[in-house]
Amino acid sequence: MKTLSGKDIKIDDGQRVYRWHRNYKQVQLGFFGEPVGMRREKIINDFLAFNAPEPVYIIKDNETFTDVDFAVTDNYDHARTVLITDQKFSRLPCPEIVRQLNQHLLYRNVLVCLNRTYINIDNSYHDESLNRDYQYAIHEWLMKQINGRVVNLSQRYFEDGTYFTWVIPDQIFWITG
Amino acid sequence: MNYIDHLYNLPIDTSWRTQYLRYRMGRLKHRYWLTNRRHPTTVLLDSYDCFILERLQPGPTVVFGSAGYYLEDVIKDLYIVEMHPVVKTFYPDAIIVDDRADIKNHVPMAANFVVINNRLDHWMPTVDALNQNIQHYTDCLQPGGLLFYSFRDTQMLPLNRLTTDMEQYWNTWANSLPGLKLLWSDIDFERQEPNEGVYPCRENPDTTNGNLKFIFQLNT
Repeated sequence: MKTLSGKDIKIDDGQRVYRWHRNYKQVQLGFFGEPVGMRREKIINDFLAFNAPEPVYIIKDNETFTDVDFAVTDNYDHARTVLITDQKFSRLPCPEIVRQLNQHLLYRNVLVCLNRTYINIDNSYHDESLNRDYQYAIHEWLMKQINGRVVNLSQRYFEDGTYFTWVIPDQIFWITG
Repeated sequence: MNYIDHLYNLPIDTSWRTQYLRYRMGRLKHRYWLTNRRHPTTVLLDSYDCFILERLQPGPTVVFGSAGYYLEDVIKDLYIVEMHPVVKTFYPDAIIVDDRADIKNHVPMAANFVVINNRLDHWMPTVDALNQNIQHYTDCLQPGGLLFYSFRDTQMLPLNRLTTDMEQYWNTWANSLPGLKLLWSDIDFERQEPNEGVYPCRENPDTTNGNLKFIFQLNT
């Protein structure tokens, strides 16, 4: 297959066109021309500093929570709290999200951030008894499924893609066993 | 230090570099244009591009909000329409509009109208707002003209993903658009099958083009 000017057409698998995620925070905060922080990151930092048993094991997939006010451990076995901001966690099937949270909660507290746009990404889980309001429904789903006390720390707002949700997911829950 | 909740809490730098970065982050296929314009013998496309090329009708083709200038060497009678003024600075032939309703004033009645995972079509507050966009696109089509429309289900509408069957919802939507006949659709979701207990957790079966793809034909 040739182009109008006679070049060859090469088929790409598409993977090379998106490589932003790991630096998304720095790229976006660089738009302002002055030092700027994400309030969501600070709120989580402050909440854990005041409330979480230490040390904290962090499961993340980008350059966040690098300068925090709570003790961090790289050894999961030593952790008394787990902080999950990794976007991939929200892309697990719903029953697997629940299973993994319940597993963490056997011995630890969890602060989990879920990306509302990724939940049920495989379209395999539906519970029509949940609240019609999506944010309430996410909270209700966790309360029904999780073996622990679930406190919702999320803000209520209409997601329009400008809230840094792809840096730190927006639906935030503090869960204690 | 200032702490912000979202991008518009503070004024965004108006420099060309920042405006270009903001545009480029959401236009995945801009990278194809960067590659193709420098390569002397090869043009890079993906399989969905080829799928569209094989189905275009003769006549003018409009590509909207999709960094469509990467298709300049493969589609005759091509019109590139964008909403970001920064596009004009590196691709002077682009037509810039502030409002979708204005597109029809800048292009001939099209045989084909193509929208591939357009970031500006995302985050519609209601399905009516989405349908209004579709109406603006069909206003540019000749009778019998084709609308190629694709997007990711995760970023389109504020649907309750725990109570809504997405496949059913979008199938119903595609079959209900006034004046348009659904010719073809491909609705796919990332299947999260574990490999030795580990889930791949991929974002989308087609992050670039969108996992929901439709071809509509304007009624004659």
